[in-house]
Amino acid sequence: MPKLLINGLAVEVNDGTTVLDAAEKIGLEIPTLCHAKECEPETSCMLCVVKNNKTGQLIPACSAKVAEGMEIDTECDEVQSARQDILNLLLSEHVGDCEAPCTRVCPAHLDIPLMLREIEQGNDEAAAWIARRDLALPISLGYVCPAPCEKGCRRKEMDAPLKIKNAHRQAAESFQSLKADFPNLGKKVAIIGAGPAGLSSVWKLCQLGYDCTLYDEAPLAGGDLRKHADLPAEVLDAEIEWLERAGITFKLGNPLLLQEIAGGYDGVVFASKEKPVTLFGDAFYAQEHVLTVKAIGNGKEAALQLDESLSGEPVPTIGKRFDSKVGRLRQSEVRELEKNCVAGESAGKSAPQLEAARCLHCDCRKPVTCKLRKYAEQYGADQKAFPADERGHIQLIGHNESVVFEPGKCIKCGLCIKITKQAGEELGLTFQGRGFNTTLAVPFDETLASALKKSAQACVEICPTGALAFRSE
Amino acid sequence: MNSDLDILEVDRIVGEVGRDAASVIPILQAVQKVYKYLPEDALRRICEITDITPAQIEGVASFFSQFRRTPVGHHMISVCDGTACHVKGSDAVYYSVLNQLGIREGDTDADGLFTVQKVACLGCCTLAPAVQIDETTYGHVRTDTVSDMITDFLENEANRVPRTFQSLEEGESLGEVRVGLGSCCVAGGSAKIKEALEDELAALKCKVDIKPVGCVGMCHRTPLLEVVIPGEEPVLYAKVDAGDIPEIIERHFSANRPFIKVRTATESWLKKLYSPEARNVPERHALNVRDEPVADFLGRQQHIATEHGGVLNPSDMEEYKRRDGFKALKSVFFKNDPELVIATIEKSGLRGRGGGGFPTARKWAAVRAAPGDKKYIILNGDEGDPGAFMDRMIMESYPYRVIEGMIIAAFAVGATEGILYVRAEYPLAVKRVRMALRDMEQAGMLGEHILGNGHSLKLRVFEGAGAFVCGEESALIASLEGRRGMPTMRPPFPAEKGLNGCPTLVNNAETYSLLPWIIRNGGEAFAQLGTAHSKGTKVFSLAGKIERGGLIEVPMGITIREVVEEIGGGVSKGRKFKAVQVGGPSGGCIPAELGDTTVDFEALTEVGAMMGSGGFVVLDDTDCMVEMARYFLSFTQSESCGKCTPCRVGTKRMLEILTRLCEGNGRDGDIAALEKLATTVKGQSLCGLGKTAPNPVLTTIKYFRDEFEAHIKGQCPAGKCKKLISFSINDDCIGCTKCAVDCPVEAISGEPYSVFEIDSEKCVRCGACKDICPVDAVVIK
Repeated sequence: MPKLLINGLAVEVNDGTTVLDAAEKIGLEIPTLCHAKECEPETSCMLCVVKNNKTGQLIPACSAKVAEGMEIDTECDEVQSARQDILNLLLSEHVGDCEAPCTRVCPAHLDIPLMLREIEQGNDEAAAWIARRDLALPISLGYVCPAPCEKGCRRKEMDAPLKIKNAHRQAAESFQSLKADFPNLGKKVAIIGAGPAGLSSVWKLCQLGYDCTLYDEAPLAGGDLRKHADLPAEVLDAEIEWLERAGITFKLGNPLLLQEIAGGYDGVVFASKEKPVTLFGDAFYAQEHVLTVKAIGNGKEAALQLDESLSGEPVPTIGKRFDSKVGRLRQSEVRELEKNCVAGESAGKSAPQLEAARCLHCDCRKPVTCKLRKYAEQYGADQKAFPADERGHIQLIGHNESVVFEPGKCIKCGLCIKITKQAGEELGLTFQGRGFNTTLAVPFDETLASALKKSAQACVEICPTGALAFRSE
Repeated sequence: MNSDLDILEVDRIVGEVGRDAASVIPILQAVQKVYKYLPEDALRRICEITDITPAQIEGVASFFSQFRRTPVGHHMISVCDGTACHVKGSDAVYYSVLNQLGIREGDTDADGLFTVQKVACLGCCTLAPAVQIDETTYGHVRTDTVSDMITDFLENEANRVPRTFQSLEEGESLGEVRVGLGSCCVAGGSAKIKEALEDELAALKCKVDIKPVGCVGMCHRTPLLEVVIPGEEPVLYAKVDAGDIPEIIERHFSANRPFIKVRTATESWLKKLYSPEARNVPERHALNVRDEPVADFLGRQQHIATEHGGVLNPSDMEEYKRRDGFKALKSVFFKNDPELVIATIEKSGLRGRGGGGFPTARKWAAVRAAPGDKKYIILNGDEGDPGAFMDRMIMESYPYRVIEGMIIAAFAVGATEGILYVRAEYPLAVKRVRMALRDMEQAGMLGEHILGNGHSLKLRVFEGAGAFVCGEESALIASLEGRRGMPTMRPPFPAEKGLNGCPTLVNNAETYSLLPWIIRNGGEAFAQLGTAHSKGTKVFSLAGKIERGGLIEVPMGITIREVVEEIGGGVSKGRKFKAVQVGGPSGGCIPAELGDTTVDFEALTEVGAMMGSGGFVVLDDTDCMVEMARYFLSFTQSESCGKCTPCRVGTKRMLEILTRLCEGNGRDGDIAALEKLATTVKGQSLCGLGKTAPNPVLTTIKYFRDEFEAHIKGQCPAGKCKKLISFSINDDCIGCTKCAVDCPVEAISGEPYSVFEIDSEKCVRCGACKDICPVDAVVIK
């Protein structure tokens, strides 16, 4: 049983244990992309480097075995900067957007591609929920929003952008019944100001499980949105009612007694056109904005800040998340992405379904679970640190099957290859070629589906990036 | 199923090679030998009838550069792009070959007769630039001789029938003619010389023994021929041509034997290069070892690994035996004490000659001490370093010695099974080693109970399929096990857990070939040679811009300047000595100012280079150091296995920067970016390839920073980087038309006897015109 020190803490583990496992024993997580418990270490990503203080060398924790008297540092500056270098190198060859441009430019960060996929498949409830969840007022926005998302849409390179604004409005209209199954955190928050920013803020906090009360001196919620000529009052009223039904307490039409409010709540969000001169205690500010969707975004942002402050857990907000960017697409790439538009039977499909089917789905299917994104964020990686002369091409393999493989997102960890082998796939996956040009491939150019007869689910799950993903996710 | 494909061939091959997963590489090699490429139907058939899986076969077939997935032309032209060939203009030769065959796209000509490829190194560095067509190697190829080369191949070589020669049985032998049959000599034309000798002697009805000998080391003078007559001083002829043979034979062996030794003035043979012109003026090339240049070339050398170089017939076991062969083996087996062998090696201070310089005795002791019933021994003969050919020469010329060394090592560590891993690009080495194994098995020196001792050892040959990274021992083992040659984390070292999970000793050819001498002469005798920490001798392949290139064995501690000036005779063509590249793609460029650096493990590492496997390429003032850095990095980048992030991506980014510097697109900050990347790749790569790949870049930045800065400004001080220079012809031109004839892309035009012009658009900046111009009228700007 060798004894060693990890970050100064004594650990005793069995002979043959890896440094990674020894660190885990004392609750230290060492980042890794290419390693998984169920597989032999590959030692390829080199993200898991730690410093062996005795030799001064950086060693990969996933495969380095412990030795008596070792002194390991998993967090020193040298290690941090080494990990950042690795991530920067991986990102320099990463061809993919973490977020679709439409979602990226939407100030409220509506998950547009996912919503469109649900519409296309006829999952009205799921689509309506996404619109409602992300926009708070999806129908009203359908009347007033200038739709910056449509300007970001890549479909315009081919013909015309998707009619996204219509889509979220129709989706929300088509399914009005409530689905309110939120956790209960047992904490009370107050939101002051019932304009779009305030409404969005209170809605987000409500979803997170807070007991929410919305205050405004005005007798009706909606703020400046009420002055909008294009928006019928009854549409707005209906949406506000909807929020009320979701469990938000509205206290409108009375003068605000701020001291009193502050005393009775765990946290407060101010939503107003101008920032109050003083913000007390755990109070956050959401700016109302002439652009309604921007106000909605601000409201969500303030809600998340409050949540972070109250929960003590970091909440990565979309706008602040690491975001790999492809930039302008080449014509050939637009055509490649068009493969995502599965040409199906148009008969029997509704107009919204047919419209949604035009989406190129240029988003990443794993924006939340992607480990590369997570660590890029954690280590402050910079995609432009080691710029490539020419970025790689977007390529889709298996586009008309359930799993899509995007070589540009593959980090060549080989985990899926091991999984197909373990699963006893007849064909399985392999590396093809050598060096920088190594690619993941199906032997004899067979289809991806034929390689993943038994192990598609496991491969998608183990893939640390969005390289292998289910098409419909 | 492809109807042209005789699938029974695949079944036959599998029947011969084996059905286990580890047989994948030998099976693929055999299949490719039959079909010239790997047809998919054949691969599918292999998967049907063996344990090899589709994923494995696809992965392996696409990893090794030997394997081709598309049909090729009838003949394969391999243009060597090793370091020595590169600095001598292999690029121009490559384009000239393409041009000659009318290949505009792809690599195969319209008739499917020839496929052209660049290869990392043919190991004929002293004959640079070298080109191989099928089995025939042509040395000193120039753009203007490419067409002759192809014609010669088609007329003389393409349909060559192997000849058998019956020597005269009766009568007393008048003497012996020794012909160098190392790869360099063969490439220089020695096979033709041997045939001419045979014909001539048969015609004269002379009974003279023709003796093939291994490498003489004086590769710059190939082909070499030595006449040995009992009771007379041997006469060595260099750069012999088949046409010279009648005269030489007549001189020494004709009835009345006038016996006139003609000594050519040393200056003239030094200046002459092997070329058609030289061929047209047959001249006598007799040398005397007492001649100064020869004495200098040989004088500082000390032959241990290359003992009896140029004398031993590489395929004659009896002769090896007569010259102290197997004495060490017998003494080891007689004393029967493995620990004693390790102690002797410990005393000798021997360090591994493969590059890392790890103490041999310590490695052996680790294998010996490692628990396990089964232990393996491996000869790492996968020398892939462009610009190095020591291992090839050693295996070709001293196969018995290498195997003797292996048996001694196997005995010391307790290994009972072993593999000689030899690059497939070295067919002669493979052939000679195979022959030697067979001879030694028959003589009871291999197999069960060697020489009646209890120890047994089974050895076999494995042909490396072309991946530089397989010089790394864990990658080498991966490929032996039938996997892609990707290194694994060490420890565990092979000594503990190697081939098939068993303790495995891996040493290179040179290390093994030193062992018999050390055992015979004692560890102390070896330790007396060399420096404090680097004992004994080191074999180098001396090549590049040097007068006398060749295979040399020198004591450790000799200075770089001594090697270049004394042994090598200085830089050729009267140019200025600029730097020497030691250690190939893992090594570095040491500037002329540091010429007093001694050649030993520590001193070389200290200046940023590395012993590596022993490439020693001399560079002159026309060599651009940024371009050299780019050349080496492009080699390691293309040879990176692609496993770990720093090496896979980092070397690619470094190469992009270097390429842009060489193309005049450098930017401020590029040097710093290169240094940052180099540090990352060096510090964080998994294996030796990545950890050392930045060395050539870091040393050139360190010693030649001004050249990098000049490139950012769009200038190439050495006048080498094609995008930064232009060629023109000044008024000194006499209109001789030579340059126009020589230009591979027909960019030069003009009327005879008037000043010619170069079309800059067409010009590929190969420099052929400058080389051939008799009045130095071609100017580089």
